Amino acid sequence: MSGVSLDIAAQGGEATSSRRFGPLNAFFVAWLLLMLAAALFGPVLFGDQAMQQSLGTRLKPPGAAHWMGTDQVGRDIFARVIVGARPTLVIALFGVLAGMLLGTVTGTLAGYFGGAVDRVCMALVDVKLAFPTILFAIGVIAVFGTSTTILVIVVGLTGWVTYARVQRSVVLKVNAQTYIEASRAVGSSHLRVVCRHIIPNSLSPLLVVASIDLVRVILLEASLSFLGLGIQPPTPSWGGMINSGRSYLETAWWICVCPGLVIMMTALSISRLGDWLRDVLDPDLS
Amino acid sequence: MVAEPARAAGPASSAPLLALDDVTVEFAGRRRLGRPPPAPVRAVDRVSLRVDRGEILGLVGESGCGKSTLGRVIAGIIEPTAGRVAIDGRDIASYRGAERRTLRRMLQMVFQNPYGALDPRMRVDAIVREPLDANGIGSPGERRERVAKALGLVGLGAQHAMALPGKLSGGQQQRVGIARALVTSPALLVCDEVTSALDVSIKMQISELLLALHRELDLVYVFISHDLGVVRRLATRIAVMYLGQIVELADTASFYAGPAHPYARALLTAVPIPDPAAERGRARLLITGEVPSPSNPPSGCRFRTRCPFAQQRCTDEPPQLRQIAGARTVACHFPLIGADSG
Repeated sequence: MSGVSLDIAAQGGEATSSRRFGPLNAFFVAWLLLMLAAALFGPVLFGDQAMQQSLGTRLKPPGAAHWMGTDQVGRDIFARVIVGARPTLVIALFGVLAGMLLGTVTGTLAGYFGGAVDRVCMALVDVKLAFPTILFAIGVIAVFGTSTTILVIVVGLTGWVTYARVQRSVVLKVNAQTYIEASRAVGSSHLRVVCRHIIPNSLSPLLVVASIDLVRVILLEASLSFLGLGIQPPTPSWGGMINSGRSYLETAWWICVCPGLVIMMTALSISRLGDWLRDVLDPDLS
Repeated sequence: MVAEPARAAGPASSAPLLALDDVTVEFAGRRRLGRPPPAPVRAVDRVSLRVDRGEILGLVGESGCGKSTLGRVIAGIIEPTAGRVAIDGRDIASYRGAERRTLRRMLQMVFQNPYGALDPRMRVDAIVREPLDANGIGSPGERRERVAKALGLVGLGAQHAMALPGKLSGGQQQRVGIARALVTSPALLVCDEVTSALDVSIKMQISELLLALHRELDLVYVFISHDLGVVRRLATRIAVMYLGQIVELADTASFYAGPAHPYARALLTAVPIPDPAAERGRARLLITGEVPSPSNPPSGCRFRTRCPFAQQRCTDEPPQLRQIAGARTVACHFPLIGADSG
């Protein structure tokens, strides 16, 4: 019993600190709102500036005229970061959502039904893991061409395995709870048990995975852009900007570092808010 | 009653409410590569039992004796491997489709761990409403009404209906579990160790509540417990289980006056009496050793390996349940009382 009470004490202590919506969380929310505004209004406000090449002002370091400096063809990096928010975030958010949906369905099926269903689902996961992500992306894009929709699908299809694995293990745990048995005992169908009890009680870990996955997706988009398979230049995307600046890293670090910092801040905000949301949603931490 | 009882049509007059005939439940062992498949574990072994209206049957025995498994068979959660379960004289295997749902409404279960049996993310009213939602009983308005009535029956009010289970005390959580079982107006409630996770004072409240509901609603309980004190307060009849079999069946008064099966006697004398003089004075029957594995039970009488009175006959021949004095049946070659030679 002492172990149990210790656990409760530890959770209680954590609860007071992690559930409070502190100034740091307010800052993260503000940052994400800023990014959202950039995605919505960026192309209208900074569209021309982001495309404007000027060989006279190429590779200028950050300063009053260019807050984040200029790139190798003299384009303003700040403007490009703002304009790049839309394609980057659209692909990241919808790609993560697609992967989460696919992985959650597969993982829930595997964990809930077990047996042959489980073996088939986990075999699919292994096949996916054995297949090189980039090769898969190249194949899909070679056949279907590149567009935002295709990129979202590619991102989803490369990321779902993490959700499937996590969801499977969480479902195994939730499925063993007495309230699941109680629900079956009163005559609930499988669909009802899964939708009303299993999914709501397994959402928290998925949210955490999603917040981490978002970072992976932004970087995957960067790799695809580097291979010429992602968002097509001259349209700016955060990952694409980092890749195009790689060869100037020693002489003009800001080309890479500025969009990199924006990616980091965005990912950090999403990840921290994801953790906060998980704690708020957890009824055991109240 | 919350509403009209959901009794199935059938010969309700003479047949007992619940009848088990040679009910057996086996669980397959886990197969391992390169080893012979393990023997199935027989958790319940050819149990026959009758429960009439107006009764509270106390099902007692130590952990792992199969009493919870038997309770789940009665509640319709587990299908028996063999044997027959009949409600009002009709085999429950013959209920199909929509009829099966009517059956569900008649048989409900209350679980041991009050918090674990309630979805932590559901509000109390949704938890209590779930049997109605799942079986499509009543209109939304009727469901709300029934939920309010069921909560009222267990002494919870509207202020509890919107709470999450985690905000309630253990006793209140168990009341929610009981309300969920009552909402379909069942005829029989399987209570699986419903008081064992509760504080002593709360335990009393819950058992008094169950007794009041038994009287008001004409509810029949199969009350599974290892707490012989609570069983004595509630039950009208006692069934003692050992290693998947019923070893003694007696009405409560004669059981507590002196059980006939050595194992039942040992169970009863293990309960301390809160009076040092009486405690010192009484003869105790202590048993030693572990419960044998249900996948490989001893030959003959299953209790013989731990029984101080075991003789050669107990090894050779399994004792059958037979009636001895009055309404008492026992499965023992050498019962402690009322033996008219076996």
